Amino acid sequence: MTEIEIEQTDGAPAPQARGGWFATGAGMLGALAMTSCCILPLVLVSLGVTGVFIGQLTALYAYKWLTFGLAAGALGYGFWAAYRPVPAKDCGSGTCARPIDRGVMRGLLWGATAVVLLALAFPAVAPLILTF
Amino acid sequence: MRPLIPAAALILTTGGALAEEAATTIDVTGLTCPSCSYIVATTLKRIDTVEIMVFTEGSSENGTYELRYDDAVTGPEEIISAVNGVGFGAALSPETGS
Repeated sequence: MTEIEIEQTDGAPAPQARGGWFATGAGMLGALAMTSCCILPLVLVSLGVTGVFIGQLTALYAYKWLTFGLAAGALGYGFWAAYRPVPAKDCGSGTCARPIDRGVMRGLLWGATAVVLLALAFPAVAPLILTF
Repeated sequence: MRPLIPAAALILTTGGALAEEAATTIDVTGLTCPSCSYIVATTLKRIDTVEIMVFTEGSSENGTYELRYDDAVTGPEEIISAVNGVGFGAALSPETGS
């Protein structure tokens, strides 16, 4: 499998590349949304941050499965775009001028996936690692 | 041996007077997420001398914290204000100790 992403000769990324980066960004936002109900407020309070918004963030827990669905969809598309094989014909005629390393996209996707999984496991893990 | 008894009594009396330890129970509402009770606990523990003795989870997104603190340093109003400051509702429990 090739490790490059195709960029067109006019400098604009190919539509699949744009979609992949868009999905990566959406997946990262989804991961952030999933942590914003539980982990993020706890971290902020532990760092000494106060404010009524902390309690408002925790209300997002009610939308956990919605944010999970959006994040999972975006990450799924992002992984497809990041790992799909690039057809040789796309580079064969000189249309592929500058290869871009897809490692950054893959790293971001795996990071966002780890955060989403952590957020999903948090309700079960919290009583084991947190004390009153 | 006889002089020791009044001395011990004096020490115990003085120690009790210096401690100024108080206990209270607060009801907290809005615990809608798995980390909410810990967020409130972290907020409470940041107040000087406050210790959480017991936390009891309620059935409708609420919970009860039994607290111990030095009432020369803080009081129920400060404690409730701190909890309100992070967006949760708090009130002294009707069966509070002090």
